[in-house]
Amino acid sequence: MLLPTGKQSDGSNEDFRTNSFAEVGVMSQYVEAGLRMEYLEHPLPGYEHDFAGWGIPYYYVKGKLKRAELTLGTFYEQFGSGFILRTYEDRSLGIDNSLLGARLTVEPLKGIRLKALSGKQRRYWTHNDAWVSGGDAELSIDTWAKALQQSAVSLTLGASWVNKHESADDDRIMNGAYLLNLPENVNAFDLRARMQRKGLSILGEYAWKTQDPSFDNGYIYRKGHVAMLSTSYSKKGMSLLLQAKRSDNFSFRSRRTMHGTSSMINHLPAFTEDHTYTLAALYPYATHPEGEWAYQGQFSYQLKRKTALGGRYGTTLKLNFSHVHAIDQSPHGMFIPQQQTWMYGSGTDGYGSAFWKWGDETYYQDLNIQLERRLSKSVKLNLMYMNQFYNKTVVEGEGGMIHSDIIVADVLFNLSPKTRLRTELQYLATDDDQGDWAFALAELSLVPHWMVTLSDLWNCGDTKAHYWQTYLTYSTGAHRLQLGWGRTRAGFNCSGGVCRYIPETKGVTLSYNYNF
Amino acid sequence: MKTYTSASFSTFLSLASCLSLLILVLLTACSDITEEERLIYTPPVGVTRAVLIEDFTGQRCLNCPTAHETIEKLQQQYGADKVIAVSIHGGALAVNNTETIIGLRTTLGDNYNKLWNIESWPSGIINRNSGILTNDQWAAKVYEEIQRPVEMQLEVSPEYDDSKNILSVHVTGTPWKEFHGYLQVWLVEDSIVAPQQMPDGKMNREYIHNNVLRESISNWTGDNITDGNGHEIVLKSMEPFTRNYKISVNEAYRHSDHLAIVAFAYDENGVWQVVKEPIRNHVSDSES
Repeated sequence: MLLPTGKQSDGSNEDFRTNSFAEVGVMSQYVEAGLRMEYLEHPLPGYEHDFAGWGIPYYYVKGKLKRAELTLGTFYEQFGSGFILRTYEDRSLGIDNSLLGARLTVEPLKGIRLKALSGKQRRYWTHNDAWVSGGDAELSIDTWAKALQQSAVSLTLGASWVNKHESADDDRIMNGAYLLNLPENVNAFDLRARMQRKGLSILGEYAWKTQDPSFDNGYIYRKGHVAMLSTSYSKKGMSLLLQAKRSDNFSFRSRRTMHGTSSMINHLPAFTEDHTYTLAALYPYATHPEGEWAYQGQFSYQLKRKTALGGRYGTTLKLNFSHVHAIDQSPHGMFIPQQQTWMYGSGTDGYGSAFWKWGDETYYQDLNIQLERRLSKSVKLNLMYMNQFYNKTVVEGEGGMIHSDIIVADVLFNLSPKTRLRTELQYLATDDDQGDWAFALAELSLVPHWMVTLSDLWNCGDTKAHYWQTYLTYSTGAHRLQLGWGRTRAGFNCSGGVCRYIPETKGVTLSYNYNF
Repeated sequence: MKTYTSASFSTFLSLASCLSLLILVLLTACSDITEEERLIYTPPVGVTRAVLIEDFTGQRCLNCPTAHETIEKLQQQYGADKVIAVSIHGGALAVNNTETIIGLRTTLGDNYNKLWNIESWPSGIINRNSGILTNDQWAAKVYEEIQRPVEMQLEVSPEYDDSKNILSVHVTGTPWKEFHGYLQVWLVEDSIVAPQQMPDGKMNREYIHNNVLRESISNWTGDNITDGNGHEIVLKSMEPFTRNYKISVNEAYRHSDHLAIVAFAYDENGVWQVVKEPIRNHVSDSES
């Protein structure tokens, strides 16, 4: 809940805002049911207009019998990595793209899992007209192959299909004197293989989509493709992750004319680290739906304790590198014989794209090094340095490339068995956008119930504005109550490559959580 | 207890693979629309009435120049007197006017953005009966609206006294069927040179802005049609009405040669008629 003070940057005059949820479920051996009530009539700032409303948008009943499970009502589902289907809820982003319909999950034989589903997708307080249907099969080959079992190798193959059926009667898009003949069926397919042996895991996944002219791609008829390869290795004291992904024209919505954060059927993960430190998360990257090459490498190493480098208690080093780049795009027109002219844009294939070739622009790059070290029994230190390139024009629509250096020092003091003090100092240096930023935080925990947090985010470069916040938190059992007062900066809240713009706010906040 | 053999698994796998491949081929083949099938030719239509495009725009909106091009193409296709656009600068991507930057944002524009719940730019409303459309939807809607029968005759006659800075606007209208609605009268300006963010992310400081909404001469939500005593009335078919307005024009642009009046009548079903009349042909100097 927010009780705003002063003039609100989104221009509203509402003096009480809240996003409230109450969820209840029951389950037995054979039947499970649940529902969720939402009160969003006066939502927190920054959500789309249609987000406002209240009611019970989530309700389901699930029957389980032997190797089969049938869900009727609202459900969330993901096929593979989510390239062709991912429905989920993220309250901070205002995303809930659940399906209302039916889903059947069957394990006909051990090591085989099949799913079939169909439904209409939720968009805030309505459901889009399109039918979304699909199927998924996963085979655990090692269940059957003794050789794999003996080698301790796990091999899983997966295949998925999703169909969107959307009438084209009401969507009239013209290019010059021509009305577009829009496909009413869009099919997407996904193939994947995952191999695991001890600490090594390799995942390869490829997805493609038939013609899907939409607002997101300018109503072109080019098919979409995503390819991903991810490898990770871990053993005691060390872990390594290397992954690459290429996406091309793979925005997939249940309403072709929609834009914004709603109505997405699929989800393309961002290969960038989700940072928790404030200044590291100041410029968060959002996955570019038109297409991108994304690479990520993460390395973590534990320096042993009681060594010269590791110190008395050991030291953890983490290194992360992410790079996101445009794909090659060469405009492709279509010759119109009746007019003896070339047509570009909507109605054509749009562009051609050489698979391995990069486009001209860097979208995002992030190199960060973190060190975690316990200095004594009562003091633990985290240090981080990050060098970041953020293409604000691509992500937010304006602003150019922002190149910044960020340092973070995070120290935890165990003052007594029941008292902990955590402090953070952060600095972001840049010649771009609003210039330098500084951040300081002190968080006092009085175990087990109380926590007091004070912080200030200061734009010491351009505006000289201070964004201070104070929080008092009380937790007991399943209850958590937080009271806050302060001012938040306008910016983006991002998770997994999806972002929501939040306008500046100032006021008193109250948050209550109860899990039972 | 039932056991599963590798043989039964292999059989299952073979059948599943064949079925999947068949489904894959069928679905992919059925979905594709060839180049020859994509475009449906729409024959030219008789233009019977003018259409209003309310273009919600902003100087920091990098996709808005594309929407401006859409307006220009439609005006070339149907005539600038038949496709009448008004560019409303307001909201998060509009720019305030300062001493160093020519900004076109107005409080009026902000109010219209809030009234129609505009959350992204560019957005447009066609003849106030389309809902909020993205610019790639405008052409089809204009094509549909421009063929509709004329429902009202509307004329606007501005007179500007330069020496006294008094703009007089005389509006006459005759509905061809019963009308209970509003009259909206706006002052717009063309050919304003001011910065604009372009699709490549660069700022064009010499961009030419047209159809820019400067101020509302009538009430900002429109004036009820009233009788001689100021009472709101329902006009019968062929019953004429007149409205007269007098304002002083903002000093910042009153000497512009590109000011115009846009007037339109509308009700809950949309715009009945819209007209645009330049002021420069009607300038006088009462003290000369």
